Amino acid sequence: MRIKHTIWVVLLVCLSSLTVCAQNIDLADTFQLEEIVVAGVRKPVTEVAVLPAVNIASEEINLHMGHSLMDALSHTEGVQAMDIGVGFSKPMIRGLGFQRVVVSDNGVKQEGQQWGADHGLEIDAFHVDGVVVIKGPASVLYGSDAMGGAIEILPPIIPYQDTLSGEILFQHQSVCSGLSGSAMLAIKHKRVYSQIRYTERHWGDYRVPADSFTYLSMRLPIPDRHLKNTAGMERSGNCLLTFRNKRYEGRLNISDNYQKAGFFSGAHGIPNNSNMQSDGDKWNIDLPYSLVNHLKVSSTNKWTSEKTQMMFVMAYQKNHREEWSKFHTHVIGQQAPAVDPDKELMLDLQTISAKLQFRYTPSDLWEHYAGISTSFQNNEIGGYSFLIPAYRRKEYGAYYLVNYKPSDVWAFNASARYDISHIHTEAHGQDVGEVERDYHDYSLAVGAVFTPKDGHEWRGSIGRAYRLPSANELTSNGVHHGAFRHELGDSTLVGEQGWQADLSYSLRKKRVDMSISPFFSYYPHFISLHPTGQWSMLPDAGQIYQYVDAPATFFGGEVRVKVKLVRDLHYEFSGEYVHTYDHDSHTATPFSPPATMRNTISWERKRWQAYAECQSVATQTRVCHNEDETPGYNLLNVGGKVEFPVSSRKLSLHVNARNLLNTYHLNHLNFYRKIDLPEAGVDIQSTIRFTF
Amino acid sequence: MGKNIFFYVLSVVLCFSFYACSEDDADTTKPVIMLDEPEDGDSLRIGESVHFEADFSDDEALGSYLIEIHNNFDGHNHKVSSTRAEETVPFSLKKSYDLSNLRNTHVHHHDIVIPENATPGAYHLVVYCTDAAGNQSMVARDIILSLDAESHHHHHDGDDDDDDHE
Repeated sequence: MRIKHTIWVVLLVCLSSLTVCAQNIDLADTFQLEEIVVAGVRKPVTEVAVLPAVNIASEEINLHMGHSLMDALSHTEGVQAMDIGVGFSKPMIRGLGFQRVVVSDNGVKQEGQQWGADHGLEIDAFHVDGVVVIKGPASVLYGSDAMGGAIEILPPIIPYQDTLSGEILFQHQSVCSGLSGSAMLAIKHKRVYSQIRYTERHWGDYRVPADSFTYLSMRLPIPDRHLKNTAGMERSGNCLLTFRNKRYEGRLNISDNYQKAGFFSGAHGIPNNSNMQSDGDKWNIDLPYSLVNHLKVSSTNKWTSEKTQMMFVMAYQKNHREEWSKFHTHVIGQQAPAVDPDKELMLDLQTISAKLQFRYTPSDLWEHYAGISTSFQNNEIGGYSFLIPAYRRKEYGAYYLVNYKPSDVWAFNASARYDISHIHTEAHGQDVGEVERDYHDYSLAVGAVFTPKDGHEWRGSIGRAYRLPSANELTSNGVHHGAFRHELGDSTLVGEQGWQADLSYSLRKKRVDMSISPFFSYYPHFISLHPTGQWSMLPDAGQIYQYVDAPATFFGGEVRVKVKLVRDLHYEFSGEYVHTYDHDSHTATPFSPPATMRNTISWERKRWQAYAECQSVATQTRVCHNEDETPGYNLLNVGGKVEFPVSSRKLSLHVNARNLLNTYHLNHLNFYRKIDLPEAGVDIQSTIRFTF
Repeated sequence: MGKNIFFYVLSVVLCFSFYACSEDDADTTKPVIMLDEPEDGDSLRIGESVHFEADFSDDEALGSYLIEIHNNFDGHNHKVSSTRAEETVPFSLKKSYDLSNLRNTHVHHHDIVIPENATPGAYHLVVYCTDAAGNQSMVARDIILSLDAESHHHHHDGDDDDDDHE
């Protein structure tokens, strides 16, 4: 019994300790007792980071899985889900989102249209086994774009013994009558491990707890309390093949994700009575809609010897996106194209990336990493509407990182990176000129970990990060639909730069597990849209907004305390706060997340678990120009899981009820906040999972 | 030890909050548009001027306002009509007026004339207003342009065509 407990504690520590200045770089073993499966611990890229990071295990993701992976991750303090209407969301870390957060899947940076406010994450949520969230500027590890942080999706754990394993799951979501199914099969035979997964999701129009919404003093109906045309579907396939012998480990990953989803009729153009009327079908995906296909092929190769390791990663990605909407134009005199007259937008981004890394561990005290990376991108465009031009982008980077651990009490880490990049955008029409720019900049991070005694840990770091301006920031000139505004790029923008200092303290005792992590960042160059006061000559556009480089300050922090009350009863408090400030406009930056806290009571047994949570979101009064203040709200969420062991197999049931009281609320981070669209009402999500 | 840690963290948090207090809060309050004329669903007579009457106000200082009219023929915005455009032309207009150095003002004018060749039908009339800081508000009206709408001049017999007066 005692051994059992010890092992569980070890497992917990392994999961939650951030492997930051990890000295024990060799594969540690963990024991999953129930299944008596011995597995290797996965080593994320973050093993070499000193930045604050949070490890989220698959159990946690399964317990809080909402409509997307981000719904589950937003349970982590400091991480927010930016909803894009309904069904899709994108990550935000400590108030930074869009192209300022990198999502890395199996060590490969996911390259879609991250900058776009209404584009989600093209990743199969059921395929995610575990996630590490890095809070803070991580461009030393990931290159440009990781200003705000990174979300690293971990590769699956490979069992040691030869097995045939798999999983079948079904999920139902009440709020949108959604049905999902996913099946996985894995075979481990000697040195080869292969895994395939297929997932399909379908959902209907979303239900909201309101009969109407108010937009600019116009009262608009929501017939039958369903948001018209928010139905959608997603289909994905994943294939993994790994080979391992004494010195070499290779992994080949092929995945494809296809999504098709309707745009809420009220969000394309100004909502009015006629386009809000129900079409009588809650399952159809009518115009306007979007579809996206993301293909990704990656290969990871590692050669390990006693003191050295060489790693080579190569990947190809193709993100193809189309938006269809009945022909309309913001350009006077434009005629519908002869072919595909309703194809509003096509964006096709191809990325080839490669990374070569060496690790050298001369002794127990020192560990060195050095690497080079490169990526090439080609973006093609189409459709009758224009958002960003076709462009090509090249990036080359080199980095060095060192870990030094003189004692069990202290550990130090330092890293530096230099990147060179080139972007060439094509001209489009008369208003968008050709832009060719070169950028180069450095990233830095230094940090220390102090462990004065068991259970106490201090961590501090200072880092510098940078980001290339994206194609839209350099060249936009037109109305971003849904945003109802004319956005203008600036081809003279310099790269974004920022400094962050952060500190964290964590305490792990028998009954108490707590952490507090304040941070402070200053961005001498921060790019955001500012209103110009100049009227656009395009229809339905209002004034022109221009991308402006201005200094900005962010600070805040996260607190989490988990206390064991009696027996299996736990109480957990978590809170997060971010204060954003743009020194030029003297306002908050766009989409500044409101302060949030969660109070959770949970009963945790090995075979079952239940929780009740009160999620309190404060009123957000700190807004930028033309952003509305958003009132606060309290949501009651309850959920739980039960597991039934069937010999070596396992049947589990997860039930998750969000917004149980059907509270009407608006989300400050929702892209549709602009049209005062309420968030989903009570949503009961049930998942049955059979694992063998 | 535990207490020291707590105080240290507390002082860091306090430093941050003092920093927060030292900021000047910028103007994020939007200007207010009270659009009296045209009203929602109004029919406007083609070939005549539009009776426009509105109050604009802001807590700090106004910037400018813009009147925009475009067609709404199929219930969808700004679709290009390609069919019956032989004799008539879908009417569209964008006209801006300066309001700088004002905090509130009443505007009444007949500047906008709907040309004789305007295609009759459903239109949108949108009024945008900005303040000096760049905050923007807008009001949208569904209007109908027709050849047999009542002439507004009969409605407002007593009205003088006075311009801005406060």
